Parts: sequence; structure tokens; C-alpha cells
Amino acid sequence: MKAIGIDLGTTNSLVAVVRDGRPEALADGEGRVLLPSAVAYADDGSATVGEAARAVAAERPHDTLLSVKRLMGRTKAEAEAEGLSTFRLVQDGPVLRIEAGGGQHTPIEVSARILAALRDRARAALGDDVGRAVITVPAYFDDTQRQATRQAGRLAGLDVMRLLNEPTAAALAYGLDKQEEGRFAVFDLGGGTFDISILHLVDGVFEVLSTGGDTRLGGDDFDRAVAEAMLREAGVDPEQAGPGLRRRAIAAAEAAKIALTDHFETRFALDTGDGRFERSLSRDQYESIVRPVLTRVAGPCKQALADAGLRPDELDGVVLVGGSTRSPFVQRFVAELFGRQPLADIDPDEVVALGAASQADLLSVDSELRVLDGGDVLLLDVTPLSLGLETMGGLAEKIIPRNSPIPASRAQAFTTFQEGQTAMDIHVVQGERELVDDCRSLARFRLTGIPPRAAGAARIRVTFQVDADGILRVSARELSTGVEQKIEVKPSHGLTDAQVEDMLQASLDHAEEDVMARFLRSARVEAERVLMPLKKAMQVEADLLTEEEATLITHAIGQLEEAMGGEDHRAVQDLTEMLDKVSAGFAQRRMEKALQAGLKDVAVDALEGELADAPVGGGAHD
Amino acid sequence: MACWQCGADIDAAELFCPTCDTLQPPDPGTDHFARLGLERRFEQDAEAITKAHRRLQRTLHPDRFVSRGDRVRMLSLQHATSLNDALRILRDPLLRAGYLLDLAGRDVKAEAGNIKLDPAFLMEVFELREAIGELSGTDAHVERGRLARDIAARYESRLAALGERLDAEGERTSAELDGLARQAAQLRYLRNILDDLQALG
Repeated sequence: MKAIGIDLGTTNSLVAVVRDGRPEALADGEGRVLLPSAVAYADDGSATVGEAARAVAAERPHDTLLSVKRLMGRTKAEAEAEGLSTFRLVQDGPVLRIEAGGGQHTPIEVSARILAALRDRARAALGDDVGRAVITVPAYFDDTQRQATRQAGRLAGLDVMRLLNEPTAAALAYGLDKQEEGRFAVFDLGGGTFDISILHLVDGVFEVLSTGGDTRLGGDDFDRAVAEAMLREAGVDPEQAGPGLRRRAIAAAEAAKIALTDHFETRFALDTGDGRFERSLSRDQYESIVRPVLTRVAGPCKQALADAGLRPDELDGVVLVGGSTRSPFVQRFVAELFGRQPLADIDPDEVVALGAASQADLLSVDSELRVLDGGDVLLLDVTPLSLGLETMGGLAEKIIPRNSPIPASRAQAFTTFQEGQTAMDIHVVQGERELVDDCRSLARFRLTGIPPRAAGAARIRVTFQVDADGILRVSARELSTGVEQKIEVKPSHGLTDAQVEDMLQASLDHAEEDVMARFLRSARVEAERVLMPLKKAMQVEADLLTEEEATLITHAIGQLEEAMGGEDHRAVQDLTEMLDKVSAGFAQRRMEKALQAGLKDVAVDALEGELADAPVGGGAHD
Repeated sequence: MACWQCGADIDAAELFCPTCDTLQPPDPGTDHFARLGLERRFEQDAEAITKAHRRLQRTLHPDRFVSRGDRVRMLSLQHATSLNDALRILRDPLLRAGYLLDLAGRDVKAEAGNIKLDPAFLMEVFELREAIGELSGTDAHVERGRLARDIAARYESRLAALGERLDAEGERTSAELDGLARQAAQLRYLRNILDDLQALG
């Protein structure tokens, strides 16, 4: 069974496969390798993909969907915040749909159309057993966007073996993995997006050090800048130019750009409607027009280097990706920016798909017999975002931090919050923010059957496991009885539409609230949880305290109460933990005494009823 | 121990059966130091740790066993997960110290209620928290930076001292181990304060 590599791009997509040990891009019946990422819907709901769809974009703008990659894993609010208003978007409950051809389509469905077209192309070239694929995604894609991409692949009837970061794929295509160590910049300037990534390779292991870019910058901006300059010179205000003239000007600018790739001078000709505008255009003149556009790529490049902690001269290579990097202006600019000639031998439109094909080949059945003695690259993936749990006060507790190498497994102990609590809600979230509402909700489940005990007496162990494909499994186990509940967040195969809707719903729940105040409030709640029963116990069960303990606890209580009057939530958190610690021996003895006396004798204190549906209790660091 | 595949008698620490070359389950008796082929001690060469990790991942990672049976893939996943865990713990000096104490039977995790903190240390933390809380005004970040450097210096020197005592020759008494576990637990609080200062910018 042949495994293929797919570059699912914003503007164009393509498919490649390794044949006779070499990756090659597959062309359609007319010899075209690039498939425009365009899907046009007819009124009867039927869809056309690629060149044919893009051809009708001008006459049927609302029924032709372009750049749908920008909407993957997004909500309407997010899409509009990013200025994607050209789509007719419908937020259907939690699911985003796009209106086209009298119907509504999710971005996943639209992407699946593109992937299916590429799959068919591969089957025509290789036979019907094409089914497994590696699909590339931008390095900055979060889990929801990655899951959406996997779902699109599944919908297109593909077994998605792995999602591969686009810059890593480009580096693989250049064989940079054959080196022992190196730091590389991957400069990706497409039609409408710009991405810069800094990669680090050591001993056949790639790591993404930093990413940056501009989702509103690409080769189209060059054409637009030149078209507008020429229109002005022809005496037409670009703002006032009709759509037809504008389109002709942009086409002429694009033609000039292509001509100047091989020639030092070209003719720029345009029918303005009132007459014919014509002039010669040299490389220098062209460059001075597009210079302002070029300088916009410099900022993200410098930032990405700074984030990676590198100077330009510490790089071992710069890789060019994206059709716009064919332009000699862009190549010269990149050379100036990084102080070295970029690698440009491989077709920049194909390089990502070629790398994906190499990786697909490595992961496919056919490589089973290959001697894996260190010659092949191993991509050690990391978690792109932290994975964690919701704890008291709507805070997210990170269990597996971002950039952890996978596979990974981590466990953390939690306890009950309420007297006699028999169930605990486990809410799995992803993201870097401290508030759950700012993170993405991945899954929820409930652990039931916890034996009723005093608050803080039950021990619940929550285990997160991420396998090499990024599939997350979460289990919660009550240690004394062994009752257990599990959930699997399966980005590759299993997510039901309902789960996806839940995830989207959760990300809509953005509460506008003062963040610090919430931190503080939840820290105070947690402090109160420790303080109240402890103070009470010190009165009732003072006989269980040593004198040294009593002094220390009293002191810690004083410190904590003082901090609770202040504004520093971190101080409250830390002092609470310390109080918990200095009083742990006391708590232990109380619990032993209580257990001996039997559970019925444990006083149910005033907290009950106030705290109806307690989420995961105060955590303890593992 | 017998190889699960061919039944040949093998050492539990073997990764692959010498007879049939099949991947074996991780040996429960192997600690993270042994897993990476390192000496069990605090003093370590950071680069040697990452190099050993990569070398082993190249032979044990699930990507190497894509087309093998479920059992082999599951074993590979266990090995790769343990290797990543070993890397995480051994690369961080404080976690490494805690792990050494763990191997010696002392649990230094926060939930281990049996560790008593030194009252003098508690006072130190209270004072540091107070000092951070009082920082305000336009040059607060300058003061914060100074404080962070001061705490970092304390943290580093105490960590180094703990490391030296962990690596010291000879048997240790139970009380000595308790003392080392207390120091490790206390260092975690200093590190929390440092992390907080960093988060404040």
C-alpha cells in the first residue's frame, strides 16, 4: 500500500509520493501539479474543485470558496476577528458553516473535497490501494486546527498517519536531517500568507524553536502594489477602479513579476478602458514599488530569531518555501536579511509535499524491511500546547506542559473538596492561559463511586497519556477502591461531531471578567477551604497537636490571613500550600482518629450545601 | 526471564532478545539513570543526558515499529514514554535530586505530608513573599530583577550543596536522608517564587 504526502495549502494544494526512492509531485491529466485550494458549489449542491472552481470565482464569488484553510478549527467570532469577512459565515450552534451554492458547508467538508481530489489523482497514478497519508499543517496550528485537518482527511477516505509541520517537511525535502546538528530558518511566502519558522536538528531529531509570520501577507500583495502603482501612473485612482479594470491590472502585474524572474526588463501593458497604458518596467523599478511589502516580512523574521535566542549568523541554512520565493527580489531580500544565500534548488511550491511524501514513505508498511540503523530521520514531536485540567475557581492546571516530547505520560493526585463527595468532574483543557475559559475544552467526564469521606481524604489519581500520534487518553482513579473512568481524545479517528461541537462551544464561552480579580478570588476560596476546617480542628482537637506544631500553624495562619487581605494571588496560593504542609501531620492524625471512630462521627461542617457541584479539588503538585 | 516471543532465556534488562531480536518489555527494575546508561548520581553532563535519550529513542520510538504487531507497538510506546520521562526528570537538577531521594526511599513531593519544613526557612519564604508584595511603582521591575537574582543565587548555591551531599561517599543514616529530603522540598518553594517573579516580568 502506497503512502502519500499532501500539502494542504491556503492557496494551492498538491500530492507527492516516493517512487524508486525519490519523492515526486503528482500531476493531473493536464500536467498541472498545483491544485488551487478552491471549491465551487453549484445550486444543485454539486461541487467542483481546483482550476475549474477558481475559474468561476469572479462570476460566482459567493459560491466559490477560497482560502478555507484559514477557517479550519475556527468559530465565526474568531474568523471575523481575523478579518475573514469575504465568507458568508453561519454560526450554526457551535459549528461554523459557510454558505455557498444554496447550501451550508463546514470548513472540514470543504477541505475534504480538496483532499479527495488529490487522493483521486494519486489513485489514478498509483492504483487503488492509496489510502494512507501524511498531511502537512503550519507549525503554529493548535490542537483544534490539527484535529479539524485530521477529520478532513478522514472524511476524504484517507488514513492520516501523521500530521507534519510544514517547515519540518521542507527541511526533510532538502535532506537537512542528514546532518548531525543544525539550526535552520524556513521562510515560507505563499500567495496570501507568510510564515517563518526556526528549526533545530540534533542527531536526527527536529524541534521547532519558534514560529512567526503574517497571515495577511503574500505574493498577492506584490501584484496588488504594482497594479495600484501602474493604475495611478495611468491616471486612474485605484480606489475608484472597477472590478474588471482592477482584475486586468493585477493580472498584468502578475505577468510582469513572472517575466522579471528571467529578464531584467519587461513591458507593462494595460487596457484602462479609456485607452491603452504601456511602459517598460525594470527589475529596479519593480523592486522599489514592492519594497514596502518586502520590509513587512523583516519584522516577523527578526522576532522569530529573537524568540529562538539566535543571531542570523548562528543559522546553518535558510530554506525557501512558497511560489512567491521564486522572485529574485524576494531571494535577494532573504539573503540580505539572514546574511546568507538561501537554499532554493527544490521547486518552492513542491518542497513541503515532497518532504511529506518522504515521511509518509518512512512511516508506511513498505519501509518495514528497511534497515533502521540510524540512517533515517526520527521526528520527535512535542505537544504544541499544554494539556491540563480544570481546578477550583476555573483555573487550568497543566499536567503535560507544552513542548513536552511525546509519547508522554504524567499523573497527578487530587482530592475531594466536599465532605462526603462521591463524584468528581474531570474537565480536560488545552492551552497556555491560566483560566479555563481562555483555554480550549477538549473533553469532560465524571468519576463516580468515590467512597464518601471527609473533605480532602479521598485520593484521586488523574493520568494523562499522549501517544506518538498525539492521541490523548485521560483516566481518573480513586486509589482506595480502584474505581476508574477513562476518556480518549482521539484526534485521528474517533472524535464524534458532537464532541467537536462541544469543543467549539467551550471556546465560545469567553467570560469578560477581571482576570486578576478572579485569580485572587479563587485563591481565597482555596485558602478558606484549608483555613476553616483547620481553625475549627485546632479548637476541638487540640490534644492531637504538638506545641511546636501549634506555634508553626498559628504563625502560618496569621501569614495566610494577612496575604488574603492583600492582592497577590500567588502569595495566597503558596502560603495556603505551606499551611497545608505544616498542618499535614495534624490532619493525618485527625483522619486516623476519625476513621477509627467511624465515618458517621465525622462532623459535617458548615461548608456543605454551599458548595453544590464541586469540580476537581485542590491539587497537589506531582 | 523468558523472551515473550521465542521463549529464549534472557536478562530482564535486555531491550531486544539476542535470539530473535524482538523488543522486550521495559524492565521494572531499571531506574531512569540505568535506562539512559548513566551513573546513579547527582552530578551529570547535561549533553550526555540528551544524547543518550536521542540515541535510545532512535531504536525504541513507536515510529520504528509502525508495521509490527500490537504487542511490540505497545512495548515500544512504553519504552518511548519512559525515555521521555527519564529525560524530563534527569535534565532538571532539582527533579534529579528529588528522584535520587525517591530511589533512597524518601518522597519529596508536595503531597508527602511527612516532610517537615524548617521554621527558619518558612520565615525566609514569608519574608520573600512580603518583599515581592511590597514592590510597586515605576522601578518595580528593576527591584524585581534584583530580587530574582538574589533568590536565584540562593537557589543555585543550595542546590549545589544538596547535590554534593547526595554524591558524598558512604552510607547515610535515615535522619540524614530526611534532612536532604527537607532541603529538596524547600528548594521547590524557592523555585516557585522564582517562577512567579519571572511570570510577573
